[in-house]
Amino acid sequence: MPDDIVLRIADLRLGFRRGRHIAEVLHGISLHVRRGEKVALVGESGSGKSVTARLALGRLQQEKGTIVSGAVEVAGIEATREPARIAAARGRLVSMIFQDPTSALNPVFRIGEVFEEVLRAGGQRLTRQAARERAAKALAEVHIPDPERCLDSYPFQLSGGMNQRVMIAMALANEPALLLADEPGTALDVTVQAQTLRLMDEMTERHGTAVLFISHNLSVVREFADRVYVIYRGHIVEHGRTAQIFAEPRHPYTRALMQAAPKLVAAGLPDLPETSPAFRDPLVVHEGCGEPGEVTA
Amino acid sequence: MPILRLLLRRLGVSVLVLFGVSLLIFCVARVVPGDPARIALGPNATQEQVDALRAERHLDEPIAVQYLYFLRDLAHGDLGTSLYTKRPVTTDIASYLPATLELVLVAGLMMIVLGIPLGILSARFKGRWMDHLARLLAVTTVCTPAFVWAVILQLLLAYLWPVFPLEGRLPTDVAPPPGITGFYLIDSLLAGEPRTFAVTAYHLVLPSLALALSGIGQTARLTRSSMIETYRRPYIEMSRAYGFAERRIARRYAFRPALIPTLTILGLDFAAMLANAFLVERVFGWSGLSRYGVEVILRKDLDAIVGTVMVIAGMFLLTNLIVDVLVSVINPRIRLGEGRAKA
Ligand SMILES: Nc1ncnc2c1ncn2[C@@H]1O[C@H](COP(=O)(O)OP(=O)(O)O)[C@@H](O)[C@H]1O
Ligand SMILES: [Mg+2]
Repeated sequence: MPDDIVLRIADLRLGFRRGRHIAEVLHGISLHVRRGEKVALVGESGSGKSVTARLALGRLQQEKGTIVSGAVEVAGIEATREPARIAAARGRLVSMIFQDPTSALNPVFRIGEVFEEVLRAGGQRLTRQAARERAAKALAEVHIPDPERCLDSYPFQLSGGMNQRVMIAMALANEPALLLADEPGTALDVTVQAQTLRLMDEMTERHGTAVLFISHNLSVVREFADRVYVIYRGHIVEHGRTAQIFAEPRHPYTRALMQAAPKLVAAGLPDLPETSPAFRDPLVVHEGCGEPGEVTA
Repeated sequence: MPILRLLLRRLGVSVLVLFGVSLLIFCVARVVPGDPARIALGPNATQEQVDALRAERHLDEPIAVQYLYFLRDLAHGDLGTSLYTKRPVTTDIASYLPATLELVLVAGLMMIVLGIPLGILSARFKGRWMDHLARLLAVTTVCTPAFVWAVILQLLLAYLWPVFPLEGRLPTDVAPPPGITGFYLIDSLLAGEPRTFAVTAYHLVLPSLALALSGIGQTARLTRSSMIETYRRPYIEMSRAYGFAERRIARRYAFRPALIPTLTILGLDFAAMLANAFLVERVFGWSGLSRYGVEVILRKDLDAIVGTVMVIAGMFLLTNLIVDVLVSVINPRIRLGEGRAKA
């Protein structure tokens, strides 16, 4: 059932042109996210996670010097070949949560002003008053104690955790089918990060939103994700349900990531595993997983 | 209310600066050789007449005492009397200043309405022909001083290809509108004389453009770089990820934060126009403050020199004050007193 799939990436390749040289960043990755499903994409910093999200938004394709091949389909829209449709879908069918919520919110506008624009961009024809009420309701839903005051505040007047809640409320305000969460809250401290993950879990569960959750930290995704893709230098190296991967990590790189994981939680910073030729081993797919249309193992 | 506190503080500083300026120019004007009384009365006056004038103006007393007299008069809003026109300096300035202000304000308006959109377009179409053209224009205008533009524009568009008038605020056969504000544009409208208004505007084009050109270039350059810098910020990526229209981003979500650093420089440019207006007015035979200023300096007309300089300094300070208020209006961090702005 391809209708069931909100994000389908197949044999996606990405290169950046630097003069006459081309730096390859993604080497033919494939992944998919079904409706309402929570999928994690995990790998060390620089492995190509954020570029994947930006390709799914159709944003990176527009930058000069990018060479893209393969398929990126968001809710049936081909993000590379249908720039106008994907532009119209942004904020409506697909939205995104950023790493540092405070810098992702415009510093010279009140939360309420930006929220109103988010609703408008989502195609909702609302009066100013109605938009404000919608926004206040959305903020109340993410457990913000005084939504009215929050709407009248500037991001720098709120804590990072509060801004993260605002961001989540905005991301889900137009009921998108897919939410891209690029290391949400990594810029925040560990407790707040855990809180926002729980909140995101609760909210996407309630709205039935599918999530592509991006993280460099394998242990963070354990409670959150249904399935996990491990990415290493632009190659997907392991794919399986979360329980399978944690019970039996098969790829050498996944094992190395897992060993690094406890350190990651304590330090909150990526700790690159030593590189090893074994990390280049071919893709490992766990039982019952696999890309749609492929013969599964 | 932090904005009020800011206003009061800046006002206090401005008053102090004005004092400093007055003291400085007061002394400098008097140290320059030449006897103002003798210059005013001419070579045929008797020594007694000259001495009488010196005594009347307290010119025979020590500078410090003279300055105290000056301060006493200043407290009553009196800037002294011109030795040359024999009228109060404030009256003289009031009759010359509007012409200059009208010129500078129109130039300032041009700087904003041409410079800022040019910078925005340039940033939005970065690296394309539109951008290259705008930057070429900006660089050319920035590095050429206003009086050179005045001469070039006058030569090209008033002399060789006479589209615009050569000089003056109005042609000789058009009577100035009844003086209410001294701004011909405003007075002609108030008097219901649209023809005078049109002719005034027509005469303003070349001088104000000459005055504005380098400011336009500067503003476009600054707006461009500030916009490009702002476009790299995560909140713009957020605006795009959430599907904000590209036009709304350019006009609102990138523009407003980008304006903060630009505005400060805009204020400086505007203040610089007050100084540049002197030479531009010369070229275009504009009977503004420059005509008065040059005449009083040549005649060593002490009170008039001090008065003119103080009025110009006052305009500078006022401009800065307005810019500060505007910046704090668009920058909530300053307005709400949450630390200093990081732009
Ligand atoms: N706009 C760009 N131009 C050139 N190289 C880029 C660009 N964006 C990302 N890269 C490179 O692509 C690789 C993957 O980046 P990214 O997706 O941001 O990694 P991460 O997994 O940490 O999110 C990195 O090596 C990065 O240097
Ligand atoms: Mg990243």
